Amino acid sequence: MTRHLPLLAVLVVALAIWTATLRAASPGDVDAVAATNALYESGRYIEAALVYEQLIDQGYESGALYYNLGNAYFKQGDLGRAILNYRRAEKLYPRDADIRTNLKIARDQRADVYEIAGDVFAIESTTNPINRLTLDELALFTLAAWAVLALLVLVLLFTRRPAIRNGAVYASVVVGLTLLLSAAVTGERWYSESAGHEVVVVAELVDVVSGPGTNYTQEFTLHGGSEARMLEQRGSWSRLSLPDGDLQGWVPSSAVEEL
Amino acid sequence: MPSRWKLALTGPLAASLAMLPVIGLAQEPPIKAEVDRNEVAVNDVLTLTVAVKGTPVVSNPALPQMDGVDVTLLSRSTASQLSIFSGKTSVLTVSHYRLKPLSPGTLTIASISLTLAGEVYETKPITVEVHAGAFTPRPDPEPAPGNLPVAETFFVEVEIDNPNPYIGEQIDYIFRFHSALGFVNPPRYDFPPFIGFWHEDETDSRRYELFLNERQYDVIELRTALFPTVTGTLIMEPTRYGFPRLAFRTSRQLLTDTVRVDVRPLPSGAPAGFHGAVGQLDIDAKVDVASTAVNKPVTLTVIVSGSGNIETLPNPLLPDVAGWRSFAAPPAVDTQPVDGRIIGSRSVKRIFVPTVGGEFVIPAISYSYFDPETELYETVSTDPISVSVETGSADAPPQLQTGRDLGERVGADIRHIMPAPSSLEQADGPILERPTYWAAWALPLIVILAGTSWKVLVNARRRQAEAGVAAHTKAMMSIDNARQRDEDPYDTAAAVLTSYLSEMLGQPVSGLTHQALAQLLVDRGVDEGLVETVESYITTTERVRFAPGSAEDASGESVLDETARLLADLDGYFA
Repeated sequence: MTRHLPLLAVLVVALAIWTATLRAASPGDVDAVAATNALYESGRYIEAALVYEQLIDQGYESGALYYNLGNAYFKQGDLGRAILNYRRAEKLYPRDADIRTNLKIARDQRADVYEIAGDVFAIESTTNPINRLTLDELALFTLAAWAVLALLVLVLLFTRRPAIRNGAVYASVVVGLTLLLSAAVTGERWYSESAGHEVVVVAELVDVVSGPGTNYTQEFTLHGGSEARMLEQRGSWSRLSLPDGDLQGWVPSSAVEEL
Repeated sequence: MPSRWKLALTGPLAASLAMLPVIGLAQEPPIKAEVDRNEVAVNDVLTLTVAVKGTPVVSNPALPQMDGVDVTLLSRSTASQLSIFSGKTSVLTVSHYRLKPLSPGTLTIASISLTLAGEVYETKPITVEVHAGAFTPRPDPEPAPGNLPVAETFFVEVEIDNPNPYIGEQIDYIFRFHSALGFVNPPRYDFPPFIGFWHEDETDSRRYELFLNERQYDVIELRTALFPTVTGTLIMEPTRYGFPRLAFRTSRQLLTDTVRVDVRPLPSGAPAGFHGAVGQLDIDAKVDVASTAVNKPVTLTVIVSGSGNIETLPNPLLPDVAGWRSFAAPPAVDTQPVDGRIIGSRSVKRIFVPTVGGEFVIPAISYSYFDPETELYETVSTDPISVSVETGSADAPPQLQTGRDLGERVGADIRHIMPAPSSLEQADGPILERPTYWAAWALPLIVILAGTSWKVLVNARRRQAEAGVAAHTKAMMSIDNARQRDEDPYDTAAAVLTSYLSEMLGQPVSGLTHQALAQLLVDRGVDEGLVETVESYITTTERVRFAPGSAEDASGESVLDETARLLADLDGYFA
């Protein structure tokens, strides 16, 4: 087995380099963020939010950027866009305590209170340990499990010592099950993030009506910061489902923004 | 007042005409270059300032070509500031180059070009006279008294109350708007980015009337407190003043002059405990209880108060007390402008929990600062504080007030923004949507396939080696038997060789021609000389077997020995 170690080492390093290239990214205009932070710190929240938005429009993505933008909106009293951007920041930095704290503060201040056992979206995002990992981290973990399983198969191929072979068999079973579980969780997360259509109400106040038009009956009202799932879109109207599932209705699409 | 209203209605045309030269300044080029002096002596220091304004993607120009005089670049500093005007974001980058002429003559700084949106902008070349000896610059001409732009109906101006402050010293940026037509709308102004300053927003504002050249003006005066954070020459761009729409059919702008501030570093001789505080400050300390018991907390509050940049003052260093546990709490800052000066207090708390009884003294706490008015370093100190701690019963440790509790007492707020990340990434979706991720999945599969193939190959070779050993053993046993039984050596040799080669080549060779057998051996890598020997030997044995009379003088023993040697030679290729 020892004579094959150099080959295995080369393969492991090659895999590490390969996966590292997946994370390569181009540098951005960090100075602009620092300057915008200075705007925020001098109390110019409207201007800071404008520039943060512009940086995001330029294609930059960072949990810090979304979080700071959420703060800038919160300071303006725009709870809807604050919660929206805290949620976006949370997706990128799911383990960040500051983001969770500010998201909770913003949620506590919104006008709409759901009668069900809390906000299911909030519960999902804070209590499930799987949700402390980003989709990219889950994907890389799954890939790593697959690589480890491949190494264990190689050990089984080239080792004759019974003790090592037995250990490799047990480890392969554990890693294989982990791989299946991780792949399932990653797939579910991928599906929910790409097709979940979670939205936040960004209008200060919006009437929810029974159909896609102003001629339908008004059923209830939502305030800025309410979180919902978008079920479908027809023209300029979106059909929303609130966390309790029973409350559904239509709002103008401009009143909500997708995460 | 009625006469003023009449003026407001009849004045727009005249005011528009008066504004034309001022508005023309708004079309400033995106790049500017200037020097602080046009005449210097050899070895003097000259500052070249290059300001570039544009979108965030505009890159800074390189140091321009300099001719006529040998010049060395002493240092370069660059500061950037994002600003928004009329809904557009732009970045102003100001670079300062400190240059030292090394020889006399006329220094020509070439024009600097900048390409922006496909258009090329260039600065004008700058010339500087470098004198051989000591050179005393000519004083700038003083403006003639009363030579103010009072002829205009509206004008704006800025003033710095101290253009030569120390770093950290408060200066006031005073903006004034003069209107001979009264005020019809609230002012809309846009201060420049205060690059190199910490600033407080609009620390003071007032309105008053002023008579200039027999004309009455209503004046709006806005003061902004600035605290320089870097030394050297700092240039502030003009403040823009948006005109009320009621006075003009379309909005107009007035621009102030550029303002220059030369920030001095603090003088030498700072005391050991000095950490950069500037202002007029005092310090006070107190504890919430002078007598306590073991495990019962004592809160020490130290307050630095006075005038200065309270927001950025360094915290006083709080002492530890031997035998006490201590917990820090976040500082609280309270500031307000009073008569144009920023005053306030910075309060730092530390919670002590005595773990043993006795009499304790919290030592004096010193705080050093630089007073820009007296230009001296000062050190203020608190008095030592005595605290009596009773041993008491061994109660459980109390529930300490954490920073969160303290925060809740003074009010809740969201957590502060994050610093700028070290790098920004372009949003390119989850890695699951990138081909490289899925290509990485193939790598372990390739490794497994390669390992399996290698294993199969190794096993095949091992089996072949084992078969070779078995064939050799069998052949040698046949030779030994032939010797013992005195069998015909040629028959034995032919049988042994044929059987051996059939097993090693994996196919019967008895039906093959000599040429086909030779080709098979060559294909298996057997040396051609040995192949010829084998072929010749087989021919010989066949000839003797089928034509006994043609036998050479070889004895039976030598034939069998030759067969054994041939097998040994072939083993080298089949093992």
